[in-house]
Amino acid sequence: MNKKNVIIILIDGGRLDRAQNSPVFKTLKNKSAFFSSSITYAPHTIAAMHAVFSGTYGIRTGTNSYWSTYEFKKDKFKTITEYLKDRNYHTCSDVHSEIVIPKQGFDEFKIHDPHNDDLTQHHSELLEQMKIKNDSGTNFFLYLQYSNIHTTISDEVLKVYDNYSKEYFKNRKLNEERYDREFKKAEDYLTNIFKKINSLELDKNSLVLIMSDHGISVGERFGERAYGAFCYDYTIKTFAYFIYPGINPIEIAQQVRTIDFMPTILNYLEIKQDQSYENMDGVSLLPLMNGKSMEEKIAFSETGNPLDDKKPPKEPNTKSIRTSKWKLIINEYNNTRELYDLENDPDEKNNVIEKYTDVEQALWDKFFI
Amino acid sequence: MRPNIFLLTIDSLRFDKTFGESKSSVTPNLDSLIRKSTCFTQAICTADQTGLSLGSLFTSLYPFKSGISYFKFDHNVPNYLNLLHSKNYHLHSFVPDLSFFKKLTKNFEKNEYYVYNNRENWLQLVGFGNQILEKLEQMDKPWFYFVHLMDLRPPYHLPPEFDKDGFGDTKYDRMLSYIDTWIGKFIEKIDLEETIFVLSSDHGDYISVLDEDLNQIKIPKMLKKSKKIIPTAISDPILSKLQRTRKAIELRKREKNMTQQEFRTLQNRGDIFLFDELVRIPLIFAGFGVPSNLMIKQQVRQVDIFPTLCELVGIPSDLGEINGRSLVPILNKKSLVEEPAYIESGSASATKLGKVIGIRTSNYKYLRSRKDSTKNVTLYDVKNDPNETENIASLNPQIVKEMEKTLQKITDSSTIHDSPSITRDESKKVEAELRKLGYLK
Repeated sequence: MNKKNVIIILIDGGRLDRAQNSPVFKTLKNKSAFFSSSITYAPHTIAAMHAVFSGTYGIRTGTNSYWSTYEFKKDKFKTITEYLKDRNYHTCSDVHSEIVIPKQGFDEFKIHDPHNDDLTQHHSELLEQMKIKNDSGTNFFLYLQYSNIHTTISDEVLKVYDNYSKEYFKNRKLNEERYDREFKKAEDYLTNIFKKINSLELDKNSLVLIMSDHGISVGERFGERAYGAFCYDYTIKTFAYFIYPGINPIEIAQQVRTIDFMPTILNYLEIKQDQSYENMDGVSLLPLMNGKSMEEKIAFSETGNPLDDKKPPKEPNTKSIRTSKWKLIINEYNNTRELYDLENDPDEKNNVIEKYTDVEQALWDKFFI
Repeated sequence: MRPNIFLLTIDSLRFDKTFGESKSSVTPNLDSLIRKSTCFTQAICTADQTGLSLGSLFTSLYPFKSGISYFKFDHNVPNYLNLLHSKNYHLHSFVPDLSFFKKLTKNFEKNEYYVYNNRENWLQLVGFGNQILEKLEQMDKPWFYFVHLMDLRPPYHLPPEFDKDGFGDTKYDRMLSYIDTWIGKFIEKIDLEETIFVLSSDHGDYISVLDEDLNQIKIPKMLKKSKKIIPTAISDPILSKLQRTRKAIELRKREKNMTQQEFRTLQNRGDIFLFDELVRIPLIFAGFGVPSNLMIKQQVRQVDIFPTLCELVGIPSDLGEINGRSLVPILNKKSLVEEPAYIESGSASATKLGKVIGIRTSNYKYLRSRKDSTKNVTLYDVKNDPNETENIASLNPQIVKEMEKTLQKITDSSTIHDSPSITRDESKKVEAELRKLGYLK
């Protein structure tokens, strides 16, 4: 086994377009395998991260909505934490709520106060503690959620407007400024965390994954003030940077799924899948990171559009199936479909469902339910 | 070897259009099948919407117990499909390619999905019927074959040779005459000695007396265009509201020149009424172990179908607590006390439940608003007023009270399959956390 530590840093709500324009993220790109088309299973943290931790879509694990953390089928799906725990890793996480990731397998499950804790300082301290463990011969898995973007959006958008507030959609500039201000703070956080990782020399014996779980709207589409209502690319297309000792930096533009990350990490650590559990939906991306080619897989995403209700539904009602060329969206709540030609219309402005019935049918045949 | 099961459900097929005086279609094959079968003339489906009714068919549970609707099919809720599979049945289907049917048939061995949005290419034109015939010869035994046809839903794509007076008064009836030719072909392929054939429907429907479809009112070009710019989540509710308003105007215009019964045919399902044309469905059992030429007038329910099938094929119906019961004693001419049938109206929205709930007995039909037992109260004396023309609720407060009590008794048992793995504490915790994170208002 390749005994490296594993550090996952989640930039909750990080937008791909902002990362691509950021000098801090560019520095990351220069030393990583950068996946610039990572499709999340769900455009909200709970279902998205349960899928990442299990390498499996929530439609199979049971966690497919905001409500279903405790419906995760623990006996059928093994999480990355449990795999590492089995190999005597010390496992530790720091998150903003106890329902955002599966708890099983964690030795330490910390919850920060998103309004009062200084996450840079707090996470730096955790890195120091992990370093001590590591120096005494124990490997570690550390999961850090940077939740400040969410906190601001929650306070200034989610709790103030609803998905149909005209006032929100009128002020696109304000929305962009609010988001960019928060993204800048995330960049500062990452700069400091990397300084810490390097000063502790953890970069020499750790795999570090920096990823986002979903994007956040700045007012692109009426009907979604933040995320979780639709399956458009500005929330489901995210970023991921894998860094490990000796990596050959590479940008991978091919579509991958965030459910592929966990099998990738297991493959890197030379851990085989536990056959007493159900197979994962994801596949290892290590060949791509090593410059080899892999067939593109279809990406499935789903969410529950609350429509005019005060809470999100318990079952997803909006689903999409995506290739790098096309996306078919199924709105189950009103029996409509949308089709977008992503190559020529990346902003998904022009619904061509009536024009390409053959494409619609081909995607629908592969629809994952 | 257990017998095969062929379950054919024809969407929107009404009992009164299958049998009896108000039938105007020409259905020699269906008529002959009825003579060879046990035919229930008072079978009541659970709801006027496909997801709710088929959900209760396959689980023998009412929707408030199973949580199943058009928008949600949960395989964690015990169902008869998985039971048959566990007893080595080979499960096959021929169903529309809608999410609900795809979820329903997820664990089947082989499914053929026909394209719902391609109406003109259904059964009659591209040999889908032949596909079913071929299938009936190919499946490994014992097989369970579920076929759900939607040809009886407007707009009708009738073969011209059937679109004539001699085949029925309405397009609906003529289409049924055409479907009958296929039923005949299906029966020819089935060996009824070793197969049970069940013919039924999900729910009934209103059959408009007008040739034009008031639901298909022309949308102004400008609004059609706006659909391409505005997300469908926004544009569709606006358009459907506009359609509803226009339909309401059209209805008002026509109401004066129509009888009450004619006017009723212009309504939509999923509203505050559940007339027998919506909930009284055909139910025909034929073949292995089923008496022939038997007409059962007693009221039975859609939730009784699978417990009956299980007993006929010799599988213990051990799904746990269910709402239905086996009708085999009736087939054997033993008496069973009638059970009241729970009924509810469907909803077109994923986030809302239907407007009314109620019960039907062979004497009365009682309905009231789902949320408030004092609103939208209707009571029909279905025995003496089979066309349900007179709401007698206000004249019979005592019967209303009794019916409400029966309804309460049926619905009072708490939801048994809603999130079975979650404790109340966990639910509370999730709600509190979601509130904290800003997702609940």
